[in-house]
Formats: sequence, structure tokens, C-alpha cells
Amino acid sequence: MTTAQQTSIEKEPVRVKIDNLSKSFGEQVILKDIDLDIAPGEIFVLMGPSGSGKSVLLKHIAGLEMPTSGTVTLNSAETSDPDTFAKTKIALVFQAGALFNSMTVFDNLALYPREHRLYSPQKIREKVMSTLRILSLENAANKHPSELSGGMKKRVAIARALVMEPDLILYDEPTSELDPTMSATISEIIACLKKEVNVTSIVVSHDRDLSLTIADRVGIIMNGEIQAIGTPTEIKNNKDPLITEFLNPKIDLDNPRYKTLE
Amino acid sequence: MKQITRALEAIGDTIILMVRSFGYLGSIPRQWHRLIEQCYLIGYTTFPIVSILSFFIGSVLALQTGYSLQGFGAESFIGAVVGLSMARELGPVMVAILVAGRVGSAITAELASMKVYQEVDALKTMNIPPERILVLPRLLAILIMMPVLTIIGNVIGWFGGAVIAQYVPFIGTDMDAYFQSLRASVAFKDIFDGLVKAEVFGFCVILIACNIGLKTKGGPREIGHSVTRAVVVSLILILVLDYFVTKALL
Amino acid sequence: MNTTMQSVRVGLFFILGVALIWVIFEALGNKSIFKEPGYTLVAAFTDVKDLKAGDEVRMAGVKIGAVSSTRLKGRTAEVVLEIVPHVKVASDSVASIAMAGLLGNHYLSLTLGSEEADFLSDGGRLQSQKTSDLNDVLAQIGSIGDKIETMMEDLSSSLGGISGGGEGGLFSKLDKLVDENSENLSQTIENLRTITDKIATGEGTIGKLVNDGGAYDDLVAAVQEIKTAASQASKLTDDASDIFAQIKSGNGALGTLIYDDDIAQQIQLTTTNLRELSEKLNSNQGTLGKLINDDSLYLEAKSVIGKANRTLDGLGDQGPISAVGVAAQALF
Repeated sequence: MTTAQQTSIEKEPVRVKIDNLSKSFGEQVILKDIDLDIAPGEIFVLMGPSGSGKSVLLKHIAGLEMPTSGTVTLNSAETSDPDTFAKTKIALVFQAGALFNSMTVFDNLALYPREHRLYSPQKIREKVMSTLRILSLENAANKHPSELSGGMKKRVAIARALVMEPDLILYDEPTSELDPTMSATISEIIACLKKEVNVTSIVVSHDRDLSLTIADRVGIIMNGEIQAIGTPTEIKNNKDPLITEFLNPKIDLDNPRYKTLE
Repeated sequence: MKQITRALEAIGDTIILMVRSFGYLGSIPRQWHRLIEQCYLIGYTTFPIVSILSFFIGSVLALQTGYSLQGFGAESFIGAVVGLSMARELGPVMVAILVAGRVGSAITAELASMKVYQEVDALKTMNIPPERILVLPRLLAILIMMPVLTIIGNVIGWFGGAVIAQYVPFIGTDMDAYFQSLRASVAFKDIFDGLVKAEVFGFCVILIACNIGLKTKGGPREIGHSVTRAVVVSLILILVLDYFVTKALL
Repeated sequence: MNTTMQSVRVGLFFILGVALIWVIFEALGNKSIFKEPGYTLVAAFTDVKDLKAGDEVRMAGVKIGAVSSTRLKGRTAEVVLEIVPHVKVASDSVASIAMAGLLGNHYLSLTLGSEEADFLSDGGRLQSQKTSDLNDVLAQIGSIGDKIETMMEDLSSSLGGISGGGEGGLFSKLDKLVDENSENLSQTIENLRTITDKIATGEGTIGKLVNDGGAYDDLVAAVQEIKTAASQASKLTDDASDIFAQIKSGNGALGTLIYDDDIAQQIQLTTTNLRELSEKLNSNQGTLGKLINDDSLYLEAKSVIGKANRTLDGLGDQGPISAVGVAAQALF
């Protein structure tokens, strides 16, 4: 991570503040009065069942969705102002990767520095290759995304986010579709970035182990509302039956609900 | 009522897309490779089908004119008829329709899938406007390539007519007479008007293809819908615009 | 795909397009866009008709420039021409407005002028000449029609004068003539009616011709009869020419016929003869009588008509088509 270290001094991690955010698509209410304050350099893990609105909240932070009411503020600049994203570098790791299918893996990574003319072509090549090596992707550099497995696509997506040297990284389910070893690697990378580059990370996940190991704070969201916020220990000790059930699901092999299937 | 609102919305979106894209005109020197790539895809790869179709359209025109006029001893008119109709009308319209079917649909499909698979969102989070790298090179490429395709279509169509005029027994004009008649009645302004028309058609087709592609919402099924819609809207617009542009150029 | 190859192909393709546009532009001649700057001449007309900017200027049929504008100046209409630089126009060259086709494209036609005349320079004025076009021709046809109409009016009024004017009128004399011979005439008509009755009931050759196709009699005899009739007819015409000669040598043609009492008596005699003749015709005497009362001529006549029909058919097949062909050639 030598290249990351070089820039770490100038970096100002982002403080993310969400006030009274509500979002509805037509009649359907997705998010209800969300209030969150994520400190600079913090790793915040957002957990919750599928369809609870985690990914939508992430898109709001990235500026891809605009709230029906309420605000999202990044370092005192609101996301409703397009200039905010010129000032703050945000990298979003999409759940499905969202790699550019028409480009090679190398070009996927090189696109951002090239378009913003951050470095000379020589330097860009070096940076991209070193980032690919971190995620053991150096052999995939000249492949197209369609030639990669799901897990590799996810790693390329993370690599693409890292090359951007962002102030804020948003991960949407970074470890889904990955085997346990690779999940562990991703967890290490997330934790390492905090230490080395001093970046704010927001991770949406329902991977309990990952969340409780790397998170500084964990938020649990259900049905569009924040149910609990706290350190991993606090969350583990939370007595709310909904949360304990979510974190420690019991597998009942004789659940009477599914008797009809036979 | 809802349809009207939707149509107006689409028109507005398209115009906004155009204005935004041309706002990034300054980035073209940096995007030179993309422009070349799009010129290649839009122009060079469309060339064979344009050639084949133009040849046969010219032939059919000559055949029909020759057949209709054979009783009147006016076979020497074939050159004029083929020359003028290719240059003023069929050349531009046919190339535009081919571009809509071959290039427009491909662009819509590509941009729609980029939208559906969140590649467009990824570009936005990277603070790279999709209009700049996805729309602008295509718009410029069609502006550069459309006259080239049209003029090639015209010339090949003329030769198609000439071959028929010479070798079909009941017409039996020779090529010299054919081209004489063509040259006598086709003015450069006719060619020029045709090129202007082609430019307008091509630009609209690509703009619509881009807009419908980027406005796609939902999943893979919607990609198909978008492609169909882009082609249908393009074809209707070509013919409607044809009337107005022709009128404006008269 | 190698990006260099791509660029090369796009470049070649683009150059091909531009080259084609250029070649076509050259091949179609300098019609608009970049015009060679030429020199201007002015020609004044009383009427420039349909001539407009952009129309051709031809000298002895060769295109040498274009009309750049038309304008009114005082009581004349002026045409400003732009002539290509290398063509010199003689000062006694005459401009006229000509039509390029029936569909009404006009161009300005210049005559060559004489060899010794000076050349016109920039801004020079051409002599002009009024020419007739289709409109003038149509107007002339219209005036001819008017003349025919007045002529017809004169004729009818003079005829009216003759009939209305008392004793000496042409028609009153004729009236008298008819009155005096009315008995003979009515008898003649009576006989004629009998003849037509016979025809109607299918008697005789003509009757057969009209009513029936069944009789095939005595062909040769009938032809013989025709020959006889023909020789008699030639005699008759000889007699007739004698009569005309006599009329001429008399007191001057028709005047004598109408005003002379002797002639009037002769006419009475003639009509009496006419009556006898018609009676004879009726009674199957003489050639004409045979013609009416006998049916032997029927077949001959029929075959002649058949031949005539075929000839006409033949004409019909070729005539109109070739006429249209000629018309089309002339038009286009």
C-alpha cells in the first residue's frame, strides 16, 4: 500500500451526516426519518434484512438518489449540490460490480485517473497494476469483465474503488458471492484502508462476522427505520428480540410452516 | 393526456441531453480515440450494407422508370429520375433508416444495459458525466460519417441504375446517355440538400437512441423494450422530419 | 482491433467520402455554391416573363452564364446577367427570352453577333428583342377566333338581308320556284317514300343490305350492270359538264338560272323528268332501278365494305400509336 501511504497525509476523511431522510417511490415508503452521523475515518456497517432499504440509503450518500425529504451532508456540503462530488471523492463498490463491460479490467481501473488526468499514463499504469496485485488480479488485467467469475468481478470492483483514492468508500455487499477466504481478505482490506489511508467507510452487509469484526459502529436497519446503533459489543448485547433473532437466526429443521411443501 | 406529458418529457429530455453533451465539446481532443472508435462503428461498419442497399434501390428505380416510360420513348429520362430521387430523397432516407436499424439500436442496447447494470451509476460516482464519454463522441461521429455514407450511397445507387439502364433489354439506354441525362438534371444543390437532410436524420436518430438508452429503467426486459422504442421512434421521426426538412430546403 | 488500424480505416473512409463529394461537385459543373466570378451585362425588356435568378444564359445554345437578378428600372424590366470570364459578347449581340421546354423553363438567349463588332465590357448593355412564346401564340389563336366570329356574323346578317328583303330576295325567288313545282316535287317524294318502304321491307339489293344477309344472287350480272352504270355515269358527267358550259355562256351563272323565265320552265320540265325517273326507279327499269329493286349487288357491296374495314383496321393499329410516339418525342 505504498502509493496509498503517499497520499494519506493530504487526505481529509469525510464526515457523513444524514438528517431526517425519507424516501418513497410513489406510494411505497422505503426510508423513514433516518438520522445518522458518521465520523471521519470511521468504519460504519449497516446491517439489515433484504429489502430493508440499506442499498437505497447508500445510493443517497453517493448522490445517485435524491431524498424525498431531509438532507445528506458530506463535510458540510449537501449532496443536492452537484459540486459536492467534485470536492469529495466517493467510491461506490456496487453489489453486482457494475464494471464497464466494453473495457478490459485494466481500462476499468484506469478510467478514473485518465478521465480526471490525475497522473501521467506511465504512473497510471503503475498504480493500476499495483492495485491489481493487492487483490491478486494481475493476470486478469487484459480480460474483459464477461470472462471473469462473480468473485473476481467483485474484487475488480473493489480495486477500481481503491484506484480512485477516495475520501469515502461505500461498499454494497462486498463479501456476498465470495468464498470465506476471499471474504476475510476483503475484510482485511477494509480495515487496513482505515488504518493506512484514513478513509471513511460505509459498508452495507448482512455478513455478521465481517460486520462485528471490522466495524467501529454498527447500525441495524429494518423496514426503512434505524432499529439500533452502537459498537459491535453493544449490538451483540442488545436485548431487542428482533435484533437478536436477526443476528442469531435459529434453524428449525421441523418448522411447521413448511409442512405443506411435502 | 398522460401520453402527451410523456412525449413532451421525452422531447425535453432529449434536448437537455443534447445541450449537456455539447457542453463537453472541449473534451473532444482528449477523447479522440473514442471519436475514432465511434466513427469506425457508425461509418465504416455500416458501409457494406449501405452499398448493397443503394445499388439495388438504384437498380429498382431504373427498372421501374424504364418500364413505365418505355411506351413513350423517354428512356433517356431514367438517368434524371434515378439521379434526382437518389440524391434528394432515397439516399438520405435509406441511409438514415439503416443507421437507425443498425447503429441506433446497438447504441440503445449498449447504453440501456449500461444503465440497467449500473455502469452509468458507476460513472456518475466517479464524477464522469455519461454525456461526455458516452453521448458526445457518438453525436460527433454521426455528424462526420453521415455525409460520407450518404454520398457513397448516392453514387452506388446511380451506378446501380446505370447497370440496369444498359443491360436490361427493354430499356436499352447506354451508360453515356444515362449519365448525360443525370448530369443535366442533377445540380450540386440537390446533392447538398440531400446531405443536409442526412445530417439532420442521422443526428436525430443517434440522439434519440442515446436518450432512450440512458433513460431505461428496470431489468434486461426493458433493454429490449428500449431498443424497439428507439427504432420505432427513429423511423417515424425520419419520415416526419423528411417532410419538414425537404420543405425548408425547397 | 488495433486502434491504429481503426484510425487508418476511418481516415480512408472519410477521405473517400470527401473525395466523392468533390468529384460530384466537379462533374455537375459550377452550378451554384462556388461560382467563378464573371462579368455582368444588362439587358432591358418590356417583359421578362418567367425569367428568374439562376436561369441559364446561352449564346447560340451554349451555356455561357446565368441570370443573377431581374429588376424594374423606370418603364422597363432589366435582367442582370453574369457571364463566365472567358466568353466575349459582341456589342451587336441580341438578347431574347426563350423557352427551354414546353413546361415553361425560360432562359436568356444571345445571338453571336457580327464578327467585326466590339466586345461588351463589364456592365455593358445588350440589345434586346421581344420574342413570342406560347402565351403569344395562344393569344394569336384567340384573335383568329374573334375574326372568324365576326365573319360568321357578317355572313348570317347578309343571309338574313337576302331572305327578309322583298321582291328581289334570293330566298323569295327560291320560294316561288318551289311553289310552282310543288306538285312534281310531292310526287317525287311520294315515289321516294315507296322506294324507302321497299328498302325497309327488304326488297332489292339495298333492302337486302339493310335488312338481311341471306341473298346471294347473280353476282356476275350485277358486276356487269355496275360497269354499264359506270359508263352511263361517265356519259352523264359529260352531259353535266356541257350543261355547266352552257350555264357559263348564258346570262351569267346562277343569276340566269334564277331570274330567267325560260330557265324556270326548264326547271319545271326537269322536275317532271325527275318524277318520271323516280317512277322508273320504282318500277325496276334501268340500272339505278335495278340497284333499288334487285338484290344482286348485295354481295359485291358487302365484300367491298369488308375490304374497306380491314384496311381501316390496319390503319387503326399503327396510326394513333405512332402519332403518340411522335408527340412524345416532340415533347421530351
